[in-house]
Amino acid sequence: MEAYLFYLLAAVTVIGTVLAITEKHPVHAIVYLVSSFFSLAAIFFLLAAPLIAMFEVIIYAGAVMVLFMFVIMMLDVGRSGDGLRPGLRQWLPAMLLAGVILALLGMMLAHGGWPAPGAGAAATLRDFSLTLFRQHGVAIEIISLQLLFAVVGALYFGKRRGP
Amino acid sequence: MTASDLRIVLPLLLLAGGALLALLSGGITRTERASYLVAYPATLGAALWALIAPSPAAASTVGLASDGLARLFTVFFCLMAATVLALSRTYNSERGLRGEEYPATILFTTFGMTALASATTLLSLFLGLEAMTFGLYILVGSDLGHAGSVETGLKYLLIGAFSAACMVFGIALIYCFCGTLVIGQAVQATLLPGAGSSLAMAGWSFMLIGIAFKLSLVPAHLWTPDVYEGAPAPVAGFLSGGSKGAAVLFLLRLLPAAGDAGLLRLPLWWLALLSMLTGNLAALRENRVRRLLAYSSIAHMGYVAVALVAGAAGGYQAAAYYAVAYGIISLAAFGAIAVLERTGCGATVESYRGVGSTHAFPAAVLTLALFALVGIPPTAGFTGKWLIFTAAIRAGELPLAVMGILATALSLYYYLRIVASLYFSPVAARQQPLLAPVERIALGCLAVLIIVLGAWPSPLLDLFSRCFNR
Amino acid sequence: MIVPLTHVLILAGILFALGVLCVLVWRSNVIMLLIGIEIMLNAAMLVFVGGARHWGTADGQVFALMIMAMTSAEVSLALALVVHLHRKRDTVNVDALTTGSRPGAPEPSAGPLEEGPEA
Repeated sequence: MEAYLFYLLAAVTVIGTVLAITEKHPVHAIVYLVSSFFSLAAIFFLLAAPLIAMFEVIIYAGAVMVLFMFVIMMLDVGRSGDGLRPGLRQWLPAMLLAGVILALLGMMLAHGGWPAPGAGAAATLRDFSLTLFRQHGVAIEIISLQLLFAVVGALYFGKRRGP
Repeated sequence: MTASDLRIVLPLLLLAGGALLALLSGGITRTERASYLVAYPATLGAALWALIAPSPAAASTVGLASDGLARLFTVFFCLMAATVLALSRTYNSERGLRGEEYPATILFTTFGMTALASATTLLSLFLGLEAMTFGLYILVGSDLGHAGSVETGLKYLLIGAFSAACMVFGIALIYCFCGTLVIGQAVQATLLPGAGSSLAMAGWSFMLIGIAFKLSLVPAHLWTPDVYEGAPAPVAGFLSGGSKGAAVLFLLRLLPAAGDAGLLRLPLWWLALLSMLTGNLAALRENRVRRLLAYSSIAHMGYVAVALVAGAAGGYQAAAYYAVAYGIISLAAFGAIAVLERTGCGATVESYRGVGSTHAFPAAVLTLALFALVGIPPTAGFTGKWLIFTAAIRAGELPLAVMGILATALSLYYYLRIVASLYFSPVAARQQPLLAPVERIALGCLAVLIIVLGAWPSPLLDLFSRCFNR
Repeated sequence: MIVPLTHVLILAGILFALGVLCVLVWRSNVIMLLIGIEIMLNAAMLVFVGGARHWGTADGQVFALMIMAMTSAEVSLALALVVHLHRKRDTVNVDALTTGSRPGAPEPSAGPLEEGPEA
């Protein structure tokens, strides 16, 4: 049952992403992408990572995509963006390259050399918190300072300077 | 977190606290003078602590360690940040680049570099690299009054984010294969010949694509000239010296754990060859000084890649030495350019005509830096190249060493073209700049270091070889 | 584990390739380029979560969380830069932006920049 759910969600994710990257209007692309991220969040939940699933919905599908939407609406990109739509000339080489990457990945996966079978039990929320604060304490410091400087940078570039 | 952990993270805490204090003091006093006054002691204190602090006995639990390599590079990055601050002050105020954000962001960038230098897990390694690059996005775009700067910042950000995505996918595949983020274990489980599967190989290749962007090795080098040209000159020096040094350190943290470049040997071999050739050939045809130095930095990273290919045969020491030497040299070059651009020198080589007689000191520093980039004997550039090519020959990479020496000979032409334009051309009328005392000191120190490191490399080399031959 | 790790990796590989495709195709549009990078990062997160499930450790989940925080910082800075540039010049087209990066070259399209809202 859960396996079928996984494949269903995987299909939704891939289709949503394909529609997002072929859509010429950025607003529609964002909406497709949000639906793709929702099903990805459900996949994270199935893979025993409920916290990551929650954050995927809150941060990605919520905050980041809303930020995109906000900027697109504010700058009114979609209307003037028609002329920028890539034609077949852009699509063909790009698809070729992406196809090569996909083929290489597929070949490597088919080639075997699999990681040893791991533990059966999934990491719990308790494990997650312990790992986060006991082993990767400094990562929190780095990332929090980075988020602070994202604010600093955004303010610096957003400030209207007087004469 | 215990007392010994605190001792390890103290340089990081000093830099982070300094960054916050710089922001606050700038906000309160409404001038950036206070921020600079906070920033100097933060960087110098962190460097001093890394230099004199006793090694902690217990292994750390926070994902950081303070071994010899970490401490050496912490000192290097912190002193470099102090030099960049010293060179930026007058440059920025003359360009109308105001705000306390600038010194604070320099401290944050240094914070990222220092975190990378002492990382023991792939997570802190990656986050340190990203924090550093993130600070540089802001710094590159910070010159709002200058036409190209902000656009260059955005371009650099897009390239950087793309390379980060590649790198993180690679790390993910490696983690998936070996189940751990601790650097030593993960590298040994995946990189040793025979140990790695195709999954691990895919992971390492994505990782290499990411790091090739950060190092601007050849198929991934196209962003470099634009960014060097658009950024403020001291930031370009910081980018060229500091961030490249950090990216080399990123590889030096990973590769020696397996003893050899392993699976990465062949791709690194090609990257090294292409970078040396393309960088030097493109620089031959370039007429703008900053872009010329950008192409030369591509070539120099090619030399570092040669050292990494040579690996355990003395290549790691050579790469570490060259990262430090190149950082100092390129900071000296861009520092001199920062001063000379204020006197009315434009972008092209011709616009530097006759500077040697009107502005003797900065021109002399620039000349020394250019000689060091070529590799003229008493300078650090010569010693570094000597170390790299002997290591390559010892490792049996004769073709690569020969190509490197030929490329170096080729580079003589375009570096000397700048020097010739500095000294052997008629003098154009230009305004006299006010060389601030702190700039004079910074440039002087860099020039002395170039000579001293080149003439007496053995203390530094001993330290490095102790780091790699544990 | 509900499905073999291979299948998770295949899904991640497809997503990553789609992200690369998006970046390559839309390389002239900043917004779509950022979206492509988001897709690539999501693929990496999926690999991490799958790996964490496979090994029963939480390291991968921690890394995925950090990726999320990192990318939101990057996106906010990128969009701030886009808004700043848009105020000066009316485009999100990267190719149109490149003209400004060469101070020496003649710039017919840089007209609005000089009279930009600097004052």
